[in-house]
Amino acid sequence: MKKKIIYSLLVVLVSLVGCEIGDNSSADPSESFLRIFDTNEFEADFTPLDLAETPDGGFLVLSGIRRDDSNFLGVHVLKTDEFGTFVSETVLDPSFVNPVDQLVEINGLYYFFCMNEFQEARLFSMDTSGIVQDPIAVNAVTYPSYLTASDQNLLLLSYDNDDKRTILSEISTDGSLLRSQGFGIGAGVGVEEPIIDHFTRTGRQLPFFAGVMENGTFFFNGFVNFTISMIFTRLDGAEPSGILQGQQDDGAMSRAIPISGGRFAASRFNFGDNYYIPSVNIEANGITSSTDLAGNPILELESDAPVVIEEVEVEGVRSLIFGSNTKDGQILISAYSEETGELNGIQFIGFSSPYELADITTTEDGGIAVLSRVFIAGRFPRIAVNKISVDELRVLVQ
Amino acid sequence: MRYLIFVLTLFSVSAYSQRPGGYFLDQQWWIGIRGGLNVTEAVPQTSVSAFSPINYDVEETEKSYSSYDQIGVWVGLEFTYSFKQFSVGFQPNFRRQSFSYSNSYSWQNAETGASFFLNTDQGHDLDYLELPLIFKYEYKIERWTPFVQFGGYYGYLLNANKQVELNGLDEASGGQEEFILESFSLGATSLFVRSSVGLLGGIGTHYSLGNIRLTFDITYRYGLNNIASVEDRFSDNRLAGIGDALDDIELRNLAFSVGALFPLRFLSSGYTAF
Repeated sequence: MKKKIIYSLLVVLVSLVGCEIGDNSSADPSESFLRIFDTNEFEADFTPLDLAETPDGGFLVLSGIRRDDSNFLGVHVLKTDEFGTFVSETVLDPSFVNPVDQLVEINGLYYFFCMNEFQEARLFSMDTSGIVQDPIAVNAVTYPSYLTASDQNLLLLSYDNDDKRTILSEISTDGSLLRSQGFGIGAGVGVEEPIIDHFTRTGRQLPFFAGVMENGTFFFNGFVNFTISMIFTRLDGAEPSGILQGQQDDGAMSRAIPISGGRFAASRFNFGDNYYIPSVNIEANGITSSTDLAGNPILELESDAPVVIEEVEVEGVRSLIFGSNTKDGQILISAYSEETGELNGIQFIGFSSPYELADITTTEDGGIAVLSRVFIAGRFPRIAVNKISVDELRVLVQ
Repeated sequence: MRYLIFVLTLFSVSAYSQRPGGYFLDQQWWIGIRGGLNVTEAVPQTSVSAFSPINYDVEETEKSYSSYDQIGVWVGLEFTYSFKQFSVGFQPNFRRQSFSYSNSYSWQNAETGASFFLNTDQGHDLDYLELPLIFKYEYKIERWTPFVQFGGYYGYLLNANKQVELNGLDEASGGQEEFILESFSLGATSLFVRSSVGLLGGIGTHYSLGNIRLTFDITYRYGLNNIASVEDRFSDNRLAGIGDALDDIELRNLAFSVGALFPLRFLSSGYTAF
């Protein structure tokens, strides 16, 4: 009997050891990794903007790159394999500058906007290997500031420097302007100064974003009537159906994504403070104020912090991932239940080397990828991609 | 533990009171204590780095490992059954195995030619509860009994710690300035898998002192599995933040030990005490 017990224990022990070692051997290194894309050039200065996963499991990363001969950032595209390892890079001709968030995938091609030396918007596309096609001119659109998808078309937020207007345009992937509408920023000296500072990166980065609601209403966060406001419009030439006003450039929404109906997951800032609002009904008809929206104060974030919100689903449960920058140079990833709005978990990225968040995207394997800028040794700005596996994400959201 | 010391003391007293050799039957049980020093080499199987270079060779991101230059200690028990010249022993022990590696990176200023160098030095202490099973062939020459041994082991990782220092040389800020950017220690158990298995072999000798055996041996351990956790190698934010990630590594270890073995039973009928 004793021998049987001993033999049984031995069999169990050997099985456990075999399982652990076997699991470790078969673990997929593409599910979880951190990659910092380094160059040994002292002056190299990357500002990552957005990333997109390609069908081969790799990533395309759109970044700005500091140039000595321009007030604007140059355009840099990087391709990785499924392990996040560098594959190739493309630096666009110096005549193209100011790449804007986001990188939009439509029918297997990846689109982004930048502008030429005359501040005219140029549409670029590339394939999954990161080979960039020739630019497409888009008539009468200048100073692009944010790009997103509108079904099979592109929705571009831009700035008209001549008429001092924020412009929202729907553009086809061949560069045809489908519809467009301008919204005045307000007359007066100095009103556009924060906008220009945003483009030249000599001032605060303004929280420009845009999107489409389920009912087809467009929205954008931009400078309108002296204030950063979230505007709702049908792009039919009529006055905006709804305005969520900020406080000039001292308070406004920092991000909002539609969840369902008129419900948004959002964040706002107000004179340096930051608030996360996992679920809120934003009035798309009428005038309201961002300061009237309650929210969770996130005290550890830097002043007027940029925020990224991504919707994820793990084992059928939907969650909202909020990402932003902390005062001490880390990235804070917060997971909220989409159903209850409760905080389920947080995770920090970065320790001694400062990190700045650029974007978060979901991946085919159920995880997420976090794009950021890391300052190696506190001084060399480089692109970093942190892949978080579905198992790690499960811990975060549950 | 006190009971064990008591029993061993009794055997020691009886051992000094017996004539050396000749009183055992062909088979014997031994119990003993062992301990010693060990040195470790971590052998990378697959190089992994958080750094993915754009304009320099990926080989420049590979770690430089130290070999057998950090001394660890170990202590344990031995339970051995011997039959004529052969024996099989179970030697559970607690052992600390240490290894280290470093990385070096540099950046050049194209205009001035000045450089900035950054080094990361990382030491690791791994504490294992090890369960080796060892077979020996012995050849008795009067009081000396040289032996060769081979076997296998299973190690269970109890704890792991890591010491990290980031230092460098800044030639690009108006002079040559050495600096320490960061220095910290942290628990690193989650970065490793719990199990470590491998083969071992070595040589040694017993020296008969009365009925007890003093034993000296040198044993080489050859790890067979990757001890770095593939899933969790980027899980520690403090390490990932500085771009560190463990390679896939196997351990090699050289252990020097001394011990004392005490017979338990099977004394021959011809035995007479002094």
